[in-house]
Amino acid sequence: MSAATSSARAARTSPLGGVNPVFIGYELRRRFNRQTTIFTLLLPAVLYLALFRTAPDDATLPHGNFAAWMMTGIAVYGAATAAVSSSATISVEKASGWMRTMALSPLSPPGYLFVKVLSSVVMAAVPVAIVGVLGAFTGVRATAAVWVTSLLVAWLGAAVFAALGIFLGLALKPETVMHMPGLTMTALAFLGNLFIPLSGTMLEISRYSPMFGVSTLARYSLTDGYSFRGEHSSLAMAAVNTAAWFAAFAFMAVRRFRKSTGRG
Amino acid sequence: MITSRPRPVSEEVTSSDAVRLSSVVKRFTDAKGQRFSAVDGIDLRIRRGEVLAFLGPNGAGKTTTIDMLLGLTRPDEGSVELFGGEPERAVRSGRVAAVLQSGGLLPDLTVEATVRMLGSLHPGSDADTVLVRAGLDRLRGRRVAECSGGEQQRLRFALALLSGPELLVLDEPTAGMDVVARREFWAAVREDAERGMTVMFATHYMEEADRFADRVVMIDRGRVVADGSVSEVRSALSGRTVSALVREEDAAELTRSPLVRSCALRGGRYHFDTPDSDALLRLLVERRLGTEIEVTPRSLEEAFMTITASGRTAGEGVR
Repeated sequence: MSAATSSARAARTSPLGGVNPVFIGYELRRRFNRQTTIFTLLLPAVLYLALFRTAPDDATLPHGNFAAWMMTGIAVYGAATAAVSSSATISVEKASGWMRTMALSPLSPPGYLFVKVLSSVVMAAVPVAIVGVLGAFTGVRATAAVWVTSLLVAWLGAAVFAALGIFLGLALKPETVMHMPGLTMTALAFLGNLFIPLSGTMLEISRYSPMFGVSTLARYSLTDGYSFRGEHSSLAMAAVNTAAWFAAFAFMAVRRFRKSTGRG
Repeated sequence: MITSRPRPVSEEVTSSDAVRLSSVVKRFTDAKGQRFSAVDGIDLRIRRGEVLAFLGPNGAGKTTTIDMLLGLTRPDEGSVELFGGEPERAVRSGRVAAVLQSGGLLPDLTVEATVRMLGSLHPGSDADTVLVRAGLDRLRGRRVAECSGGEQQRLRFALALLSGPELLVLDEPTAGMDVVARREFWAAVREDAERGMTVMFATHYMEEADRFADRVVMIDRGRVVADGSVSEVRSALSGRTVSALVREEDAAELTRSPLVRSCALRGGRYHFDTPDSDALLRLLVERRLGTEIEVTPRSLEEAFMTITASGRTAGEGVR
């Protein structure tokens, strides 16, 4: 028995902090079961259909049309909302004590957070795909490079909001958390220049908001960084915004996470 | 014998110890902002293969001690070693597994999904075997939220078995279970203990300690108040309760006598807890101090109440 135990023991020190496909598979299956998923998937579609024809009179874009601009914005919004509501379900895991179970398992804390972010980003692919398909059918015109980069950036930018979701999920009670993502994300989306083209002072304020970075990066290949009024936002600034907000959300999430593993 | 003080911990570290707590202290701040010691200097060594019952009233520090033992909480003073190393390492490698009091499960998962999900973290674990061993084979498809308390506890037990642990820590595993569920649960644990697993369990139920443990450690107010084999603890704590109708001043006098460990007034009768019921009875009869006298043997539970109460008044263990 001792030989068997020791060989099993050696195999137990799993690589990647315990992260494995089976675990991620169950994690994803749990999320797709939720009824809230319907909201996170339907809302972006409805918003896109409502907004893709609301172009301002002076709307001209170097590498596509206004529908492409709106598609990218809604894709960022949909991905971010899906990621937040998905990762905020960590509040259930905190309340149910599942986090303690995890703390007693071989899954390392960074591994656990990685699984959370990864599965939230996977979830975020669904609204991006839906909005992309709708865009293709409703007359989005854009170069191939715009199609690829805008949707890809919108999708991967969800990682920023997955970190925010983890923080919200750990900071708030499960009952409260259910209502949070929709409101917060919609407010951040208006502020981040996603739904209505902003200019002037509003644009100045917008530059510091969390969604501005990701949306500007996602639209850069379409707009070359220019707003419809001709104001320019540089690629570097958008990258700094994204990185800074990701760092801030991740820091808050990790700090909360460290506090949450104990019994109270 | 029952040691009243923490056992002296010898210097050499032997790998025969599964658990080694040395002068562990943990302080918390209560709601009024006052600091108090939930665990106040506990020394505890558990040898490999031992089955140890960890007893104490609510708030005695059992759960805090277990949390520190598992590396979930850090002690303010003292040290914790599992198999001669850091608790976190032993827990993460699966050498140590725990069944905690409550929670720890996801309500929306099925029983089987829970076992498989956690099993994926323990390479080489066998989810099917574990499900059978914990008696969950027929409940595979049931959602955790729809499981009874006893079924959920068996699930926690199944999860603990996944890594094939050498030490199993159970924190009041049968709290809230009915008699049948408790019996079934312990039958499953016993089977594993017989394979040589070290088991430490906290419990409220004396008969569980009585039936199952090799050794009993009682704590109260964050200190060890008794430590010994079940029979040692029981014989040292044996005694009877003598109750009678007694006048108040006589009762006060009797309470001061060495024959009486403690005294309580319930339903107009004085209940004297005594190590020598014969002598007390003789005294009551000869001096006509009491009427309607009854003598009842004391349960281990009452013994426990006495030991913790005396620990409380004397500020130290049982002599």
